[in-house]
Amino acid sequence: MMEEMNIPAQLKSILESLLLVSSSPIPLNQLKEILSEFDASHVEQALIEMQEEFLKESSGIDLVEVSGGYQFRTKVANSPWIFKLNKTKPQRLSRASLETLAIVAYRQPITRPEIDEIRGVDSGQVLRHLLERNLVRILGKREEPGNPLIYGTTKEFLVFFGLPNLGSLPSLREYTELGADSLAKIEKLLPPKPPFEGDLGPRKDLGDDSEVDVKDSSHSA
Amino acid sequence: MFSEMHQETEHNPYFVRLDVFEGPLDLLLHLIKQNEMDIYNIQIALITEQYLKYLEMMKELNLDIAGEFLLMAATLAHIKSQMLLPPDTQSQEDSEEEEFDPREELIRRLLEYQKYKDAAEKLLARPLLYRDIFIREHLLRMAKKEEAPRELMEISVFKLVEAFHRIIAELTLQVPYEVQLESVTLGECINFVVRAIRTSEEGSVRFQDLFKGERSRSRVIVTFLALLDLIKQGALRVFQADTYSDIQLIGTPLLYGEWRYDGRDEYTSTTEIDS
Repeated sequence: MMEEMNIPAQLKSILESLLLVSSSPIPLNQLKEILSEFDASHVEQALIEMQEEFLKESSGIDLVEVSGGYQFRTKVANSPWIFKLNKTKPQRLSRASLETLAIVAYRQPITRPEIDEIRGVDSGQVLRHLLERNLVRILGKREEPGNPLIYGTTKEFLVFFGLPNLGSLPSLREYTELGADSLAKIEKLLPPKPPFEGDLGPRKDLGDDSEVDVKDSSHSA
Repeated sequence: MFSEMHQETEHNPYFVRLDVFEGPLDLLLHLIKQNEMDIYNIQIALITEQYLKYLEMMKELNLDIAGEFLLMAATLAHIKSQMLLPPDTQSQEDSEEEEFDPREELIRRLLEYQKYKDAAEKLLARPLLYRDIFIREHLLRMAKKEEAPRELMEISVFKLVEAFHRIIAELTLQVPYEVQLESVTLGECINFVVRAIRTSEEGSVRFQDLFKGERSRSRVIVTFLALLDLIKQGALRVFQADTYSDIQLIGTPLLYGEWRYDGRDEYTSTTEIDS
């Protein structure tokens, strides 16, 4: 890995310009496509080196991997001055929203009754709010009586929390920290593991925003 | 859900501080923690008593107690009564290791809820966009005019469907007296949308303008399907400046290029007419 690679200075320069101009994270593949005249491995290496270079204290920018792409983001320590510049207040999410969002994130695809069951309260309003803020989206309908809508998180969710993909969600606190006694007792109480929990690899079918199933409802016209 | 509690009491000289609980499970977790109780060995009698006291307090503050809180009170009372029953010696012999504990289901729900409550806190602790971290403001794709319009953000189909429902709701429908068959094809409507955008001055059209003066329900619907089709094909993108502003439809280079409708006509629709 320590093999010397000669990254053309121009490559880093172009990458920096691309990242500056883009309004959304640029996927690695897209960068490689745009920079087709360069070696693909050089593009990767250049990004790694740039990430390190931007870490230095005098830089106000971090090069971060987020929502399946690369993005320039400001350094956390500089936020007070940015609020002065923009004259805005920090955006907040209520506890109810956060809880619901966490449940959707870890358990997607999930229906509203399932969310209500975990939280012990009605989550309709909170869900609507999350849909409006584009942090949650409707993935489609589940094939079961009543055809409930199923929900999942959006790309904006990953961008908002600065996550490269769903696999990098903080791991859920599991029951392994418990003593053997309680553990044995609890094991049989646990619901069967949802397919999505535990191993949260990046899922292709959750990456695209354009798949909302609207056809069914429009046919009735 | 009791966040109003603070607002109400803050102006009140008799300030009573109540923690904000998201629901009965949240309240129970709080009580368990306050009593330094083991979650796997909840003292139901004590917890039930404190839980009911809390509901009483909410009543005194004239707060509406949500049904979920009352349901949990009933559940707690039920568990408490089951705990008082003498253990069934018969079944104990049958399965020594599997002793029935009436608290099981409650413990499972509390653990499950706590797991996501913790996860929510972990998410909140991350450097968050627009709280700790900022990114480049969205760029305006088509800033041709001198006076820069407000910045736009791309929106989802969900928003588009919402806007469509508004259009349908505001529609003044024609009530025809003669029975006539009007057929609207998807191709026609796609051509209509493409033409509207190509001939617009700014290369963009407001969503509601597409339906202006339209009085036939089927044409409105097929026009909307045409929109969805164009978006799917990547010939059209949908933008909005903020949550309640107008939705703008902007053609991509594909729409201006050698674009043509491929002839599928699954969405042909005919007007339904009441006579």
